Parts: sequence; structure tokens; C-alpha cells
Amino acid sequence: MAKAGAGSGLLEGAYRVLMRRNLVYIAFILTGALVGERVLDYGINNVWEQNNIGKRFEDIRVLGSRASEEE
Amino acid sequence: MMIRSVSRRLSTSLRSTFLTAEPKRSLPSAWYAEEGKFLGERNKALPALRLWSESMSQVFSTEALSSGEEAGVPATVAALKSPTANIVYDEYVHKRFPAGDPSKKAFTYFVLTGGRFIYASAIRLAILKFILSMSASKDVLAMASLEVDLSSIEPGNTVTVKWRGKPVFIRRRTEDDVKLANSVNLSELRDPQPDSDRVLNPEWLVLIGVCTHLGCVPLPNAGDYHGWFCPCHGSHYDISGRIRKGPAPYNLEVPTYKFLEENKLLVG
Repeated sequence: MAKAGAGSGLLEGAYRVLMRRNLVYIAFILTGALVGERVLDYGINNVWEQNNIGKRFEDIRVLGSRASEEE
Repeated sequence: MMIRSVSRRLSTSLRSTFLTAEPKRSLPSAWYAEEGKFLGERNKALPALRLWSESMSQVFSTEALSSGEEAGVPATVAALKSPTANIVYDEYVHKRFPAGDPSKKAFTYFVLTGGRFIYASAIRLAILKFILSMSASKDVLAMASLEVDLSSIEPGNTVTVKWRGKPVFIRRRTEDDVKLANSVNLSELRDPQPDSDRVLNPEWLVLIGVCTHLGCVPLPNAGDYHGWFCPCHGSHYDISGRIRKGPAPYNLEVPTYKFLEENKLLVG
């Protein structure tokens, strides 16, 4: 509850910008979905690859640029 | 609405609300006797029902059955005509924020917006799956023809395209290349074929880039005969794709092709 006073918080400001008009809100949802999907895909792919270094096809015969570990 | 109307009548008649621990006291005594008799008869048969009705009497008001009809005015009309500032909410099930607390409306709406991001992404996926399921499937694509745009190929350059999973070499030959191809004596070829048999238009040479020995892909602009060289076992092909040296038995295969317009080639 760090937002003191009605209407002054970050969320309230975002509410006033984004959720007054339905068209703006729908546009926000669509862009948020597209952007969020790409961000999540990128993030989770990186996590997967970090956990699986050396096991991908691209990692075969890589000379010197990456230390491959076989688990 | 019913609860509010009930509580209004309760306040006007100076009784405690039905939320207190003794709801039965607020009923008119005549009716209570009636109710006790009613419940008493049923309790012998259904003890579970008695427990339910006792617990429910704390949530659902029994007031509506009591006084409205006696005064000649229905309960709803009486409630509408007796507004009061003393609004009482049912706090049995939900806790309310104390008056003056900042509302959590914006936070709540943003949580819901997060859910709507996910719904939007799911709907987009569903639509894409349905529409793309109607596009060509892989077995259709595997037997397909390929259109190649020839306008960007300079004379002397070779372009490799993928058709039905195999590489196809398209070489735009120069005059010298054509002359060289035609100057070969057919009797010294392992697989004799004149160059004119292998091309529709001598300027354009179209070959399937699979070595006839054991299937490797020959490299362009390599080898002793100004053509292709297969690095696997050392087969040399010339500027018309014919085998000259090395273990391959046949010339490089020529696929069916035709020229659509000035600068387009349809392979297959």
C-alpha cells in the first residue's frame, strides 16, 4: 500500500490513461498480448537453452567459442 | 435489495437486525409459535433440514414473511417508499474496506487486463491454427513445382534452389561457357549427351545438384572442367553437367522445366 492518496499512484495514472475509452483499452490489450508473447517466448527459450548447453544441433563442432558440457 | 429493504423496516421498527445472534426474538410471537410448530413437525422426519434452516435463518431474513401483507402494502412498495440514510451491508460473507480507504479499483482492473492479454493471445492462436490448416499441407508441397525468378542472376552465376527437397543448380551461362560445352567430343564422354539435349535455352543450364555416384552435392565453379566438383569422391562435371572424371557413372540429371515468361522458370 505504498500509493498514498487516491488518484496519485502509478496504477491510477495508468488507469486514467488506458481505461477511460474502450477502444484505447482494446488496443492496449492487443499490443500487450503481442509484445508479451514475444517477450515470454524469448525469455523462456533462453532459459531452456541455458539449461541445455551443448545439447543442441548448433552446438556441435563449435570450435573454441563456447565450452560445451555434456551432462 | 431484499436485505436492504428488510433492514430498513427493521430500523424503522427499532428492532435489532437479523445479523444478531438471536433472530428468533425479532419475529412476531404469533408467527414464531407457528414456525416452531411447523419446524417441530418436520424435524422428526428430517433432522438435517432443521440444521440447514437454522443456519440459513442467519443469512436469509424471515422478516419478509411477517408484516408486509398485514399493513396492506407489499414489502417492496413499503421499502421503496421509506428511504433511509442508514445503509447496512451484509458483511457475513464479504469483508468491506473501511470508509476512506483508497479503492483498489485500478489494481484490480490491471490484474484482469493481464488475464485478457492471455485470452487475446489464445484467440489469436486459435484463429491462426484454423486458417493455416487450410493452406497446403506438406505432402502437397512435396510434389509441388517451384517458380524461380531469373532476373537477378548475372551471366556466369549459379543459383541453388530447393525443389522437392533436392538442390537444383541454375546457371546462367556465358557465350564462352556454351562454346566450351559444345566443343566437347562426344566419344570421350562416359555418358555421351550433346549439350543441346540437356538444355532448352543454351543460356540457362538447369541441373539437379545430386552427384550420380553416391548422392553428395557437387560444388560449383570447381574441378578441372570449369563445372562442378563433388568433394565426396572426386567426380568432375563439366560446364554442361556431364561427368568427365571420377567415379560417377551418369551426367547430372536435368529436371523437367519450362520458361513461363521472360524471366521466370517453372521447375517440375
